[in-house]
This record gives sequence, C-alpha cells and structure tokens, in this order.
Amino acid sequence: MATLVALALLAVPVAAQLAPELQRPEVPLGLDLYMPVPDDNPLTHEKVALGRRLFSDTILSRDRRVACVTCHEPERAFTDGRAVAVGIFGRTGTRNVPTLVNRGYGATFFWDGRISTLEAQVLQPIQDRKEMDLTVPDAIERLQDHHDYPALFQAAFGRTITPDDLGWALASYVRTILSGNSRIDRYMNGDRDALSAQARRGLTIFRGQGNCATCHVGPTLTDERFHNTGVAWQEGTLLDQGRYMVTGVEEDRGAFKTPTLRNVDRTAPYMHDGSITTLEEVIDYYDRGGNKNIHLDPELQPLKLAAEEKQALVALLRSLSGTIQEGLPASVIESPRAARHP
Amino acid sequence: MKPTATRIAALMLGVSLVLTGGVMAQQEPEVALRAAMELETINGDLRAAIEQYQKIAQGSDRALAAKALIRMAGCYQKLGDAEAHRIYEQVVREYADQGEMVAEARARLAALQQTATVTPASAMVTRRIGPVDLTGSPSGDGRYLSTTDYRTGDVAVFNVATGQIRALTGVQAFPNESVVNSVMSPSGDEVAYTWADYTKQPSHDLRVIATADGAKPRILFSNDDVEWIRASDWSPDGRQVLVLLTKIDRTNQIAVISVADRSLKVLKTFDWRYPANARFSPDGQSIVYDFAPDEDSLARDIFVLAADGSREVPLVEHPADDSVLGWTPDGQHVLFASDRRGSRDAWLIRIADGKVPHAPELIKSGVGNIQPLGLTRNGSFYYGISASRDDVYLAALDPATGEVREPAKKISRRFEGNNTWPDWSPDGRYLAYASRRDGNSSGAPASSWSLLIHALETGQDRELPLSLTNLYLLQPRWSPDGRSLLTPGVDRKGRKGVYRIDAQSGDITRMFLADTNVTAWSGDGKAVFYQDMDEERATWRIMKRELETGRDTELLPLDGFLRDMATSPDGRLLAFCFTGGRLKVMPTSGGNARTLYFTERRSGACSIAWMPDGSQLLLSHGIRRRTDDTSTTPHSVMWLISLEGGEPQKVGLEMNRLGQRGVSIHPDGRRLAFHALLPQGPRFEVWVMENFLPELEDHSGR
Repeated sequence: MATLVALALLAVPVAAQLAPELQRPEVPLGLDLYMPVPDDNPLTHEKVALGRRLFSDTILSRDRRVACVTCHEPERAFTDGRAVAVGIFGRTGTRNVPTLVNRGYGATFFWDGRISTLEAQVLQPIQDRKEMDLTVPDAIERLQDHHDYPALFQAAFGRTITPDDLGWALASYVRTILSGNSRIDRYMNGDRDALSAQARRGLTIFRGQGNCATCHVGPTLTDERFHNTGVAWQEGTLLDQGRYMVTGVEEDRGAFKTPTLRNVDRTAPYMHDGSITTLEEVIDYYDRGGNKNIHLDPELQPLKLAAEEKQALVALLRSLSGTIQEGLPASVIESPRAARHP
Repeated sequence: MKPTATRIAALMLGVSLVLTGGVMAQQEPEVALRAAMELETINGDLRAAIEQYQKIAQGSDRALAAKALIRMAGCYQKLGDAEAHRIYEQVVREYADQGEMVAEARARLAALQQTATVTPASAMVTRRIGPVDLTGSPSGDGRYLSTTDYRTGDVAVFNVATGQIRALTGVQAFPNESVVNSVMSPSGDEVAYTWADYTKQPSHDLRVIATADGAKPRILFSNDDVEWIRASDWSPDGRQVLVLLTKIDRTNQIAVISVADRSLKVLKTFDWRYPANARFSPDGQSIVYDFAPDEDSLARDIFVLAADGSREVPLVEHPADDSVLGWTPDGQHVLFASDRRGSRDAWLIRIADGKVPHAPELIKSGVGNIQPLGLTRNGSFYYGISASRDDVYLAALDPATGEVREPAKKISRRFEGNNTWPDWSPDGRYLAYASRRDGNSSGAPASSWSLLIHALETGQDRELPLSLTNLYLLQPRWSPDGRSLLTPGVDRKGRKGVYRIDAQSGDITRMFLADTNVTAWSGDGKAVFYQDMDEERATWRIMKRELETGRDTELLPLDGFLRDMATSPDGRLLAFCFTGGRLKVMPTSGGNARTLYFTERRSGACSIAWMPDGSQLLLSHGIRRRTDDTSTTPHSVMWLISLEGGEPQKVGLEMNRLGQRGVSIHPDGRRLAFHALLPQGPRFEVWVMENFLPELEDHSGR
C-alpha cells in the first residue's frame, strides 16, 4: 500500500510538483520556508482575497451577526480574550478559542485534533450550533444569492460555488496568517541582544528544568500532539474527555493538543477551557505538576521553580510575540473586521 | 475533481489492475525480463543479458519486446557497440504503438548523438580508494576527497591518485578540536566543513576554506542555539551550503547558508527525528533527503523538497529502511540504499519529468552499511565502509603489583566490534556492557543499543534492548545496591539526560534532564555527580544532584572537559580525568581538588577505576602519535596511581597499541574489564562504484 501511495503521488511529475506555487506568503523570520499546501488547493491571490473577505463576513452565520473574525480578532493574535467561545444568540461553547497564527504548518486541528486538514477545519465552526450554526448548503445558497460572491468564486475557482470552494478559500486565507520575527526569533538568529538576561535565563529553564520544550517545540512552539496536563481534572472529575472522544483510546482521556506559544501574552486566558487567566498562574500550575489524575502525562512533574525562575519564564514567554501578517501582499487592504449583513 | 486528483485516481486504478489480472497473464516474460535485467545490472554480464533480451524481444508481447530492445540497446551502449544506435532506431520505427518506449528510444538516440565522443562505459566496477576516513566528499572530477588529517584533526584533501593527504589550515587540532565533516565545492576549489571545539559553546561551527595553499578559513555560521551542524552539500552554483542542524531544543532542520552573506534560510524543521543525506539535485532546484516518518521505527523514507521550500513530495515510501545515496549527474534518478529484500542493496529510482516513474531498479545487491560520500560528474559513486572494532576484554590483574597476569580475552564473540563500556556489579557477579545493534550509515548521531548483563558464573549474557541512543554518551554504571544502572544518554526524542536502567527488566526512567557525558553514583546511591556546562561562565563544572529533593549543587568549576569520573569505594572521594589524561581527586562533600597525574604528552580520552581498597586508581589514556606516524590507531597507556603520591606504575597490559577505555575493576581486585579498539586493519575505507548507471547525461554543469 505504501508503494502505491508513493507511485500515486509521483503520478504528477516530480519537477512539476516542485514547481513554484502560484503565490506564496512572505515567511517571517523564525518560520520554515516550507509550508505544506495541498496539491489541489495551491495558494492564489484570488482565493486568499476571497477567503479573507469570507473570514470577515457575517453572511456565514445563521443570525448574520457572527463572522470568523468575531472570535479570531487580529488584534488579539486571532483569539477573542474570552474563556470560551461565544457564538450566535450568545451561545457559549466549552473550549477556548485557539489562535490561528501559523496554522498552515498544523498537522491536526481543534483542541482534540478531530480534523486533519485546514480545508475541513474551516467549515466546522460555520456548522457548529454554538458558533455560526449554518449548514454548508445554506451557506452556499446565501453566497450564490450575493451580489459579489458568485463572481469572486468564479474568478478564484472557475466555476459556480461548491462546498469545497468555500473551505479552500477560507483555508487559503488562514495559511497566510503568519507570525514570526519575535525577539526570540531574532535571538536564535544570532542577535544576542534581542533577549534580556532574564529572558535568556527563562529560555534555559524552558528547555531544562521547566521541561516546557518537550511539548512547545520547533518554529510553531507546539509538537502538534496531545497531552493530559490535568487541566480538565477538577475535584475528582474529568470535565472534558478531550482527545479520547476522537480516538476512543483510554490514555487519551483528558488530553488536549499543545497550543502554540507564539504571541502567548496576547492570547489570555489560557488552557483548553480558558480557566487560567495569567501567564504567572500558568507557570504556577505547571510548577505544581498539574492536577494529578490517572492519565496525567508523565512529563508533568513538580518543577520546584524559585520565584525568580518563574519570573524569568514569564519574561521569556513575553518575548515570543512577534509580527503578525495575514493575506498576500496584493490582497491585503486593511485588517479584517466583521462586516454585517442585515 | 481537480486534474491532479484525477490523475492520481487513474494511476491508482491502473496500478491496481496491473497488480491483479495483468501481472498473472504476463508472468513468464516479466520474470524473464527481470532475470535478464539482473544479469545485466547485478552480474554485469552484458553479453548474456543481450542474449536474454533478444529472446524476449521475439515474443508476442509488444510492450515487453520494446522494453527488452531498449534494455538490449543499453547493453550494447555500455559495450561501446554501435548496434545500440540501430536498435533504438528499430524501436522508433517498428513500435509506434509503444509510446513510452519510443520516447525513451528517441531520447537515447539524441543523447547518443550529443555524447558521441564520450568513452563507452563498461560493466560495473567497484574498487577500493584507500583507508580514508568517512568525513568528506569527492570533488566533481573524483580526483580529490575532502577528509580529516587523522594526525592533527585538521581539515584536509586526499589525492586519490597519489594517496597523499594535505592539511588545509595547518593547525594541531587534537585533542580538543577537529573537523567533524566536510564537503567539497562543485569546482573543487573550496571545502565547507563543520569544526568542533569541545571546550567552547557552541562547540560546532561551519567554515569554508579554499583548497589552494595558504588559504585561511572563514566562519560561515556559528550560533549557540545550534548544537550540531553538518555540511551536507554545496549548491551546484557554489553559492550555498546545504546544512543539517540540530538545535538546542532538539529539533532538526534542513537549511541553506549563503556563502556570500552567511544568511541562513531554514527550509524545514523536524522534531527529534533527524533528516539525513540531504543532497542538491544537479540543477539546484530540488533537495533529496531521507527521514524516518514513523516515530516508533528507525526505517527511513526518501523525500524531495524544493530548494526554495515551496513544495515537497515523497519519493520512496516503503516499510523498508531506505536512505539516499545521491543524485545521478543527469538529475533524472536518485540512487538509494534499501533493505527491502532482506539485504541492504543499492537501487535506482527514476524521477524524470512528465512520466510516471518506473519502479526502483536494483543496481547492486549486498552493499551493506555503506556511507555515501557523493557522486562525481561522470556518475562514479564514492562511499565509505566503517568497520566497528570496539570490544570488551577481560584481563587478570595481580592486585599487589598491578601487573596483568595473562593476555586479555574478549568477553563475547557475539556482535564483535560493537561492544563497549563494561562495568562490574557491586557484588562482582555480573559485568554489564553496552552493545550496538545497528550500523547507522547516515552520519547522524543515533544508533540502536542493548545493555548486556554477563553472568560470570554461567558465562551467559542477558540482553536488554535500550530506548536510548548516542554512541558517545552511553556509559552504564551499576548502582551501589546493584539493582539498576546509571547512564548519561539521549532518549528517542533526543532528550539528553541521566537515565536509570532497571537491571532486571531493562525499563528506563529518566532521573533528570542534563546535557552531560559523564556521571557517577554517590557512595550511598542517593546522589549523582555529573559534568555540565555553566552557561553563564561558559565553563564546565561538576554538579551534584540529590535524587530525593532534585536539588543541584555545584561541586567544582573545571578548567577542562571531563572524560570520566568515579566515586571511591568508601564514597568519600571523587576522582575525575580530563581529555589529555590529567587526573584529579576531590572530596565528594566539596572542597579543593588535587592533581594525581599529569602528562605533557599529547593525549586523548581517558578512563579511570578505583582499586577495591581505595588506595589506588587505574588510569588509562590515549597517546597521540607523532605526525610522521601514519598508523590510524593511537597508543594507549594504563597506570596505577597511588593516592599517597609517588611515581605512577605502568600496567603491563600486552595490548598497548589499543585504545583502552571504560576500565572497570572487579571487587576482588583480580579482574580488569575494559573496552578497546581492535588494532588490525583500517577502521575506515573509501570505495568507488563505477559504470553502474543506465545513462549518463550530465546536466549539472558541475
């Protein structure tokens, strides 16, 4: 089977497969030049611009009052500042809104990793009853009735609007939301003055005694894996089964995907349920070794950090914020804002 | 459905059909064709292969006939026979319905016309270049190899014709510095190389030096966030060096560094698993590399990444272990090694434009664990063979005189050449030692290891597979209670630390994270001494970790790099030795250290063990040879050194041309275990494989 897959992929000549993309975002310092993009959804200006407009458009919610950008605000590193998401008619979800920065590099999506492609992920909130609560066919119908969208989709895909096209346009835009060029990126690139002495001390702890880099690793500062850190374990009860609901594997109970730490000082509150409000409290939580439960990740052990070591870690975490860019240069006019359709 | 998806689906369907009905109907001619191809490529018997191809070409299956004719013409081409031209024309003329083969014939006719002056190739040849180490790569014309001057550690150039090595910088690098690996530029005018200085952090940097006499090196890349850097290839235009990086956070990267402005571009980041054998395609547009995609397996697959990072495709995905050997000069094939047939063989996979690739073609069977060094412009493949020669020995000691009573004997005849770091259990009933289980040829720092527990009473070994890696770190030491062993090591996720191995189950638990190479138990087993780097002062130091509280205390700042340490039998003293053989001892409670032994001779690694009564220490250290001594193995000496002072007493071990390390003395004081390098034969050899490619179209411009 493996050989079949390899042959199938090579059905497209290698040189052609490696030909330059139609468009590529400029990659900021600290991120890989290689970002996986599906062969059937290469980036184009038209798709990114369309996805960007859709991202801000409340047309995709049942009450026409909620857009993607409602919960993923650029000013908050594409989060919303709330503990858990709030959708149409004030319906509240159960999990914290994750940032969208650098999701183009992602391997799994949502806190429980139930979706494996960005194209599929972007359609989920539209359909979620607590978020935008619109079926995809209804969304397509609205877009087809719109005065602009049919032409924009035609320009992007060369056909009338399909459900795939909606996902592909939104995914294309999300792939352009990139964050890098933070102080730590500059430090790692050889600028020894980019980090304060305290943050450098924090970096040593982050990689050593703190054991943070076991999960928060690489350019995106996430291993894209799932860990039970005990957050869902409250007073002897697992409040959210997490990854277990996807895999059915006992060890996955209470496990959630490692979130990126990029721009972490802009994305409070923290954890999958938004239950911790400050970075200092997050560090205190891990310093205690997390909430003990039967599936607690063995990497979580009491850290026994001194007060100044905790402060150093906070200083490091605050150095992880960098520039945030979205869209392709020719498709960016202004930061996305929710555009309501009465 | 998008066009790409359609093509993939069509191909999948086509492949499925071939795998079901199609193959059965054509089995005999297919088998005959494969046999003929084996005659051609494996046996190198071109005449016999031509005969077989001729028979197949007379069959009724036109597709196979056309294919056989193409192969037959290829054989004639290798023999320099103009009959090749006639057969290609025959295919074009008579097999118009076999489009792919006709296109192939036309392409080969065109190539023949373009390369009419090229000397015809003969059958495949492999020949030995010489006992050169495997740190370098060949020049484009195959006349030179970059390498290490084993006398000094300097970067050097090996002249293939004369066998002479010429050092490039002229520095005496050993014992604290050395070149780690090197690659020659396409023109052969420059060498990019990784330089290590183990007394500094970062210990590795990337340098470039011209091969002309008197050239000075310049540092191309140095970054203390990068733990390890390996020069992997030059871009064909000579403007970039392709590198593999391991960062402090254990992630690995493929990157390119501009030779002009020294800027770094990271193409792709990996987790603790490392890419290896990255090579630019001859046109500079793509990079091929291998990587283990399954985190629970060491088996690697092969990928092609666009040199600008824009795309990536898998090239070889197979449950077997597949690793890159190199691109062919025409950029149309990748040569790779695979163990899919049980043995490790060389295969060729075609990735020509516009065509569904052929299945990989077996080029040479049984190549073994070769290390690819590079392909030259004419398609000669240079590779290295590394002979593992480490073994654990036992010798009888006279505890009164320190004399060795009889010649040392190997502890085991199994996995010879792969056994290291012995240590006696506290009760003297067992000898533990580490044993390597695979021969990683990628040049990256990982291997599979087992811990062997040798029972003295029965002579039997019990094997405990380990999930730890790294040749240079694994040094198991029995705990005082004899239940477990302590070792520095690196786990499968690349985490450096101090680990405890359960002596019964082999279960491994991490005691604490630390970047250390040397550890020792405290006498009561409640603490561990270890060496680590004080990053603020950028100096090494001895630390003490209380295991119950996790508290670390600095015991002593160091003025060198430790190779070994050992706690005295009463637990009161800690002895330690440095690179160069210097030996010191200090109280385990802290305080000053005093020097017990010092030599001004140029020395290498060292190892120490306490005599059971705690009155003497056994010290073994290497002695570097004179620069005019061309032997590749260093001397080693072993001394008994009294704590009370006096002249060191030489231990008369009659294996004094070996590099003894990992010394351990039995609790009865009468038996000595150590590991040593076998003296016979060169440790490394470079070979070249020639005339193995089906076609040689040089599009590289190199």
